Amino acid sequence: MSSEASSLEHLHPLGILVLALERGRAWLGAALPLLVAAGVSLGMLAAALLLALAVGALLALGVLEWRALTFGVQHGSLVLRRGLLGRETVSVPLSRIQSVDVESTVAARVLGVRGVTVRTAAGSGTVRLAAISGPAEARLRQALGHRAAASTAGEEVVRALPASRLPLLAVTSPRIGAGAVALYALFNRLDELTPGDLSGRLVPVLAPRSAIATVAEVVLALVLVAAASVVGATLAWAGFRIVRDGPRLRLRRGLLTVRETVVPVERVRAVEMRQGLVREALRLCSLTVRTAGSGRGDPQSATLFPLLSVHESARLVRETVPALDLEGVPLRCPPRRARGRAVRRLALPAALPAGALALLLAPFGIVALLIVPAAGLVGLARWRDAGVGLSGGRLRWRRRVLAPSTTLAQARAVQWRRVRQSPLQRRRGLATLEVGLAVPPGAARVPDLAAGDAAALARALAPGRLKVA
Amino acid sequence: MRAALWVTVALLAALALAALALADYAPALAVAPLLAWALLAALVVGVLPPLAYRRWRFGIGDEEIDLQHGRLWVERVLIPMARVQHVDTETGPLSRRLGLASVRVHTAAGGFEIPALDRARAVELRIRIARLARVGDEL
Repeated sequence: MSSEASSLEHLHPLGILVLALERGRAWLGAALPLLVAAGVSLGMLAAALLLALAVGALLALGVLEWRALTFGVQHGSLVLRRGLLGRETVSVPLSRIQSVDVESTVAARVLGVRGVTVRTAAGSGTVRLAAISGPAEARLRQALGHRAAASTAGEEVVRALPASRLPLLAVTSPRIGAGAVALYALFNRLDELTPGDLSGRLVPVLAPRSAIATVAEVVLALVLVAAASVVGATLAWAGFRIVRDGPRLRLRRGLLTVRETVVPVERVRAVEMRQGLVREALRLCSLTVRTAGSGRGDPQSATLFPLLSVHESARLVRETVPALDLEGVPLRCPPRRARGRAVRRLALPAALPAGALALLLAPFGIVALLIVPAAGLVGLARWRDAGVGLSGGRLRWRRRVLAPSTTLAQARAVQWRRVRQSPLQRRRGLATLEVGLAVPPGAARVPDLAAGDAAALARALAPGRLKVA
Repeated sequence: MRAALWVTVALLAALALAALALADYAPALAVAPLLAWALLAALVVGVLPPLAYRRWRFGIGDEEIDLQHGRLWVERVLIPMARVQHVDTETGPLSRRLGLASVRVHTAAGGFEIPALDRARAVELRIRIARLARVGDEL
């Protein structure tokens, strides 16, 4: 850590606007109905006056907050003073910083400001500097020991996402299916959402008239959602690169709004490999790194790489976070006698609604009964993919919801172990192992392991018995 | 455990509603849900708590806290002392009246409770766990 700033400084004056906007966004939910009610009962002029008053009040609050908020690095800690009525001083030791996020929108870049968020393991220790100038950011980076944002010369790019991969990233995104369903639902509710004459003209074009028209509409919805997804993915992920900055990784991305997350490698406690159903079929995955902590909104995660083939993932993790090698940790999986339980666990709850649908919508409702074997197949796939293993101070946990994912965590992130056994599990010699982790999602759960395996793993995870590679 | 509590409450409410609904149309049949309600309530209030109490075990070692409870659904939790972030005692109005308190042990991945201890014993346990919990653990 290099030189320390001697005094605290204010945000950039544009921070007044950003603070007012942030507060305005937080109050919007409560203020909007009030404004609408005022507009309806008192007239538009009164509503406009109220709106002007509210904007003025927000700006005045912004000024006061800006004046009260100062920050700087003092005695090896990032110090933030804030608060209008109650004064608060947050002091974050530099050695406790888990990650630093820098965000700059197009407008912010033109005006020469950017937002910086400094995170610690405790969510309450997050320091957000809504708008600071370029020189102030450089001073802060210097104090934190990071490379200056502007200097890209000589930086070591570990890996970059080629632009040609963006369409594939967009169309294999797990969210695309939900988007298509939402858009199709919107098509079918068009007459309720648009003015009469517009829907009168659109409904004959869009409302399904035959099976072929319905299929065509679904395809159109998928194409539209895919196009929107490609635009969204390009805005969010264009220019993604992993840059090595001494003992830190800088993860940079974004076309218009550029985001950069700085993660100290020694703070990474887990790496997660995720797949969606489409990505699983194409042998693709994404990688996420997780640092310790329990803050709200999953702030302890950063995407290490948004799309790569499964066979490349282990090499990339070895290059970036060597302590968390994805390979070399054999799994203990639920035994064959647990297979029936896994199938029944999903098929039985599905049978009740499927049966009800079949009866209510007879004779075509019989199709709903297909849900039961489908749920059973998902249960079977979950049984096949579940597993947990421990080797060289690394805990590997594999599971499937619909698509599989694997977490590799440092065993020192383990907080507690729990072994559960129901009467039916006891009869079959099975048990559920849960391992509390100091990283999201908070606990690794493997149902129906052999009881001996669950107990042995729980014992092996005691801190005194862990052998670190 | 919380899920079981909600299921029980929902079951008691459903039985009470069934009794009310039947009271108007078939008063004789309304006795059945009332009887089931009374049996379930007696089970939940009178039978299960003493059984659960008898099966609750905990051990405070130098290295780990060991909790075990349940007769049918057996649960065992091991919490290393090095992972304890903080420990507190809790007492509500009813348990204060009965001279009881709970000890809650917090880790970076959630907390666990040792319920219904004698208040002096709970305070002693809290002090002991706090002393044994190491501060050198780095997340």
